[in-house]
Amino acid sequence: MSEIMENPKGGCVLAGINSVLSAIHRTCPVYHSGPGCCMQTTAADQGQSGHKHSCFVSGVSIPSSNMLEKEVVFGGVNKLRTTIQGAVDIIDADAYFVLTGCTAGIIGDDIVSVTNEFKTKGVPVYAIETPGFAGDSSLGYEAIWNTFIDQVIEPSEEKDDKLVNIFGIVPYHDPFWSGTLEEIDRILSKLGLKVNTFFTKKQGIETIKNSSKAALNIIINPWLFKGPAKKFENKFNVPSIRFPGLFIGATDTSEFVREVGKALNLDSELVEKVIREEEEYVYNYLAQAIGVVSWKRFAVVADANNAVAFTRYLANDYSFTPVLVIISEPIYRQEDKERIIKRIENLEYANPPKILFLSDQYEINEAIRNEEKEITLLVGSSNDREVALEKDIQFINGAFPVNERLIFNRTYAGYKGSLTFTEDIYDNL
Amino acid sequence: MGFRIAVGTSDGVNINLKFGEAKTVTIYEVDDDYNYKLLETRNVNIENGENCNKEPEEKCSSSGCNSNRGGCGGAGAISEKVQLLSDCRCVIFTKVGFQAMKQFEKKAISVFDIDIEIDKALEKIIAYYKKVNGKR
Repeated sequence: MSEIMENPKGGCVLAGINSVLSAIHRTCPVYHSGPGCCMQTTAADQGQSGHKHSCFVSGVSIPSSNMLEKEVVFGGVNKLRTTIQGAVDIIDADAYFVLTGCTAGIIGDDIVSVTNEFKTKGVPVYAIETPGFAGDSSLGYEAIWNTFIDQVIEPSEEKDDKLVNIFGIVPYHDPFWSGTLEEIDRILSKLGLKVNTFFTKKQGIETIKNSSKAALNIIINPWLFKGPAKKFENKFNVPSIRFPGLFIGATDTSEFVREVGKALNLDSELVEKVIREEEEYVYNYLAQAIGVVSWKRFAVVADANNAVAFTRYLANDYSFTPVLVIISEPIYRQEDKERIIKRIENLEYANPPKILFLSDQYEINEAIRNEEKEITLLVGSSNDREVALEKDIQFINGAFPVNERLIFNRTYAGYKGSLTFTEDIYDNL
Repeated sequence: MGFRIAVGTSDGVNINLKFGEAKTVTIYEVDDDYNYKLLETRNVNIENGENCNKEPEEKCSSSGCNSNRGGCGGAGAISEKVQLLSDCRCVIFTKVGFQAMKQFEKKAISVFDIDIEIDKALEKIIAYYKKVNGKR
């Protein structure tokens, strides 16, 4: 399975874990890895995600055991112990997580025994045993949630039937994560739900510990989080629903709201009332500027979650013509590919676009370059800007990595996000 | 091809000397089949460098002064001492100062600062080099 990939979008497992931990309030990653991993993994996700970094610890401020030749030969457990102690002394965090770099993974240091020493002293230090080489950022997201499920989340008998957990939006790996989670939170709160986004509202390790009280896990992603969801259900008896892709605009967001309402047996009058209010808000604005953007034939290059969202919004709600959709993250399971294809092809009236699964930048560029049908709009990452310039087509930087814009709480998702996205299409003419 | 390992020891059993304080260094030779044997005990006692005949205050301000405990020597003295071990692939002491470590690195000699028995250390290092060599 080894092949060379040009410009991979994202980093290793550590990058994914680091992104998640950085987004959780007051948690501190401790790297048991070679020097450089802290910087590189932060650069791989946070560094290309709209210039937003964790302000607690990130990059060079992350404690690391900096394994060198000596640790490879004689084992790095002692150095890890002093590193953790140093982190506990200096960084005032609510929880510490020890991440295993490639070096530690290969030589097989027993990090669990070291973290247990701290746990018996009452210091919340947890070990994550998935080494960096095991996969990409997306696997990191699953690995850290597996760790939370195994070690952090406390079982709870009583359930809060209004509490839901949101999964599937990977912080920093999706540059719009905070705005997106805030929009989802806003919409679901209108239904009377309490929402665990985990990464906004200063939710921290306490929220994660109590997440087993939730009535429902909502996965907003066409493929991610399969294993952890099953584990979560088996261990804590929390069922999950999967909404196969992010939603932009009234059509998909209303579908999402109805599905959540159905899964939780919410009062359908309330659900319809919320949908009515929100749709009115969106359509009221769209009515005021209808037709300002001329018809486009578009292509999308993005991770599966956002590719679904962009394609469906532009085709269903904005009646643009989809030509080409490239899923630019590696997806291995056939069932996942089929779910993504189904969601993208199942459009209201547009002809389904050509769908390709390519993560190599050269192949992506070639696919766009050699597309026979005309493309007049490209929604993609900073890496895809070059080919858009070359073909002289309109380009919107809307997918990871995003290097040329600053993103705080901007989002394209949900009801309000769709207006922002439409504004941006006009902005880039 | 075989290689040599320098060890800082006073009793021939444990690694118990810092690089700075070692007046003699024990050299082990590893043959092509990765068996090791004691080669020699090498005298590495370097007389104090010129700039260390000065008063203590002067010593610290003068360039190239390295205030290693247990035997002050200038940068020159350290290079000279490092040079005496330049035929080795790696050196093992309980502690190697920053200056000396840089000097060793320049000569592509690995430095291990660790406090265990010689046999254990050699076993692990040789196993490591065996794997590294196998990859080449």
